Amino acid sequence: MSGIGFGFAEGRKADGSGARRALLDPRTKIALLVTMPTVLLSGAGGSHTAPLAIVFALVAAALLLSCGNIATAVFGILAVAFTQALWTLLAPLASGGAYMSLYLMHGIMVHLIPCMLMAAYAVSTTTVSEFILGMEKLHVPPLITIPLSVMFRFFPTVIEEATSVNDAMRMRDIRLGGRNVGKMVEYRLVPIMMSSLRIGEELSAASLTRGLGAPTKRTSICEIGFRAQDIVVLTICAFALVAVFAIMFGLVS
Amino acid sequence: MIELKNINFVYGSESAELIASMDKSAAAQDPAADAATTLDAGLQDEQAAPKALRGDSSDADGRLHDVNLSIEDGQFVLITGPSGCGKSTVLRLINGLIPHYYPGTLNGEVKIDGVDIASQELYETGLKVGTVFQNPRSQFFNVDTDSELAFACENRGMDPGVILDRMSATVERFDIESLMGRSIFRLSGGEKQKIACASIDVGDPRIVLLDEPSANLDFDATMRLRELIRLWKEQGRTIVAAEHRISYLWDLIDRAVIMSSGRIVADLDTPESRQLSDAQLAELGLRTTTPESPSEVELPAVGSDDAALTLNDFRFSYRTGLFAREKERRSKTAEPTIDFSGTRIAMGKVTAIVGPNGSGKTTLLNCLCGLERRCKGTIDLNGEACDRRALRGKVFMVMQDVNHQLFTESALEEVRISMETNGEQADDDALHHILAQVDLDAFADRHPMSLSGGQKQRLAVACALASGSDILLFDEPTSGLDYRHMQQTADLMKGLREMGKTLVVVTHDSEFIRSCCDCTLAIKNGRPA
Repeated sequence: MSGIGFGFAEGRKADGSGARRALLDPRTKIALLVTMPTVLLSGAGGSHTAPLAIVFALVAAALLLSCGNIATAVFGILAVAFTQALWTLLAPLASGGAYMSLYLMHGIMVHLIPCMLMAAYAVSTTTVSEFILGMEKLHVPPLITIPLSVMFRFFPTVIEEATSVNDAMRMRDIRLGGRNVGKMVEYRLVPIMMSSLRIGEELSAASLTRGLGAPTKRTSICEIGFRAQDIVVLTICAFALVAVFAIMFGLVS
Repeated sequence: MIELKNINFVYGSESAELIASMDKSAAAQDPAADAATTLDAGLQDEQAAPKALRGDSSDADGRLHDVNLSIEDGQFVLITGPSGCGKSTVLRLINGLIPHYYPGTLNGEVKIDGVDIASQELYETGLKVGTVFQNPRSQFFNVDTDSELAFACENRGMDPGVILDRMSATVERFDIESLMGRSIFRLSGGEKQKIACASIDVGDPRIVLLDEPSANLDFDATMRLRELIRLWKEQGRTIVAAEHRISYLWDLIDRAVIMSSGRIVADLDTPESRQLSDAQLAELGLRTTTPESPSEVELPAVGSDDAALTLNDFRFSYRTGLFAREKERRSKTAEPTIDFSGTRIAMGKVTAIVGPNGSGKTTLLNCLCGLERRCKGTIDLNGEACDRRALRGKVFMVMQDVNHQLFTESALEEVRISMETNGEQADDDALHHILAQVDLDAFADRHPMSLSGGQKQRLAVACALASGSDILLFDEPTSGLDYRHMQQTADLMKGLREMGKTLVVVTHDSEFIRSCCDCTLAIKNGRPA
């Protein structure tokens, strides 16, 4: 999955007035991020969720296309289509171990990929500001929102650190040979943890000097709010949840 | 008006005390190290007093003794002095991070316009005081530039319309239209510092604090930073800057406060500061006051008769599009395709690689030490063409952030794994001998992370020696170093040169180039200039 990465996707320029708006409200994205794993990964709906998986894969791919991440969208859709085709064509012919592995592969790919696509979309199009505002409107207390919002920055930074440490290991040609795995993990983790701690400390200091944590009610230059596209997506989510629970409680067979 | 009265301060928390006590026990075990055969001789005082070191090595100690300072409105004050002299501590006292964030024992009082900083909350101080920090990786809360600019004002609960007006004013004044709507992760170091300054500017603080803002910047970016600071000065803001690299600010300042070991040792107004001689500057542990671009330092290019290693087919470009990894997506705008086919690097000498940020210097180093798998180039070494695999073990890179390449629990262990990777039997005598060569024998049992910045750098060099590398690459070895530490690094280079090593140093530091480099290789757009 080449295109999945943390960080805000570029390409949307601020217009003259400054305020920009993402396609979806951050709350809609959160709804999708909660609904999709619930429906697809919990196993609640049994094998009946396969059509829902296709719908969600298409929704996530469409969203990725809308923000210009064509590579990930195409890759995801092809992967789902390929597995689905394989399943439809080969499942009737296979038996025993072959059937089992086909079943597992199909189950995992078709259910997991839509969630990954959605996660890629949500992380790459939501700014920290929008996220905080969305959570505020959902009446989530800052005690939960602020640490979560720091993750947006912290994970990519830790990934950068880990990449550097990995490079250093390769450069010094330190490999597994002869040494136990525990040591190797330790060698990697110690420098990453040390620099992550330092970065975390500096990050907090910088944010505090700029008024984070003030008791004043925070304002935002972002505009969020539900529009037609949000309603469509939320309806799909609601339908999926209702359908899955209906199946689970035996209301529909 | 900023007033510091009779300030005494010592950093202190449980963890710091723990490290300090570890140091004491380590120091007790240290044998007298002065007899060791050493690469550089200027380290005795550092050895004599191994200090408690916190996470950041640049301001290792940072305690203050009897500091009295009052700064008039509209003054531009430069606070400078050797590492650990307490200049960052002074800034932290003014912005309130001490005592509100960094724990310690504080006596005396800090007042801004008569209001005691210790008695008001950080966000209240933040209305008047804006701070630009040293590390561009850790001072942004947001992931996009627009939100970052708005951040401080949003926290104050200002009207969005007013924030947007202020933002457009700042964007215009700082000429950063092209940086708006971008991801913070895809900006260069210089661009990040511009955004950091802009985000302070939107908050419109009367007092601006700058904590080594140029530490990670090249010469051109530093000069652009200078222009932003000049804008603030013209607006009549009070500016307090803590810096090692004083040259780019020297003709803008109204006053220079020079510190040493937590005390103010000199307080000079502009005419006085102009009269400082080079010898006096060196004595105070200060860097040069004359800005000079590294590409203007005249050194010979490698001669055609000199012994040299030649790069063959040395081309590399980051992939783009579908198959690019995230790392490549990030760097593709910053680091272009490089082509160094036929470039020669003098053997047994120190070559400085100079050029603006984003010209491919780091990419070249990565290719030289075999980190880029798809770089198919070879290096002609004594008539033998070495490819990426063959270069492993022959080339060693000391990274800009040395913390990334030290993994183990002790300095000795660190050298041991390098020696074992080299396939040699590592007995303790040999290991101690190598540590002694870089003057670290007394620190053999110390945890690498508890060493100072300079010591970590020397430990990385010890690993290079242990792995039998003949070619050593250094990425910005003197960024953020004061005069004395810069000289120590220069001495280290000279010592390695005497051992017959070939050194390639990427650097922006003209003073350092003058101290120890033999040749320069200027780079522009991924090619020799």
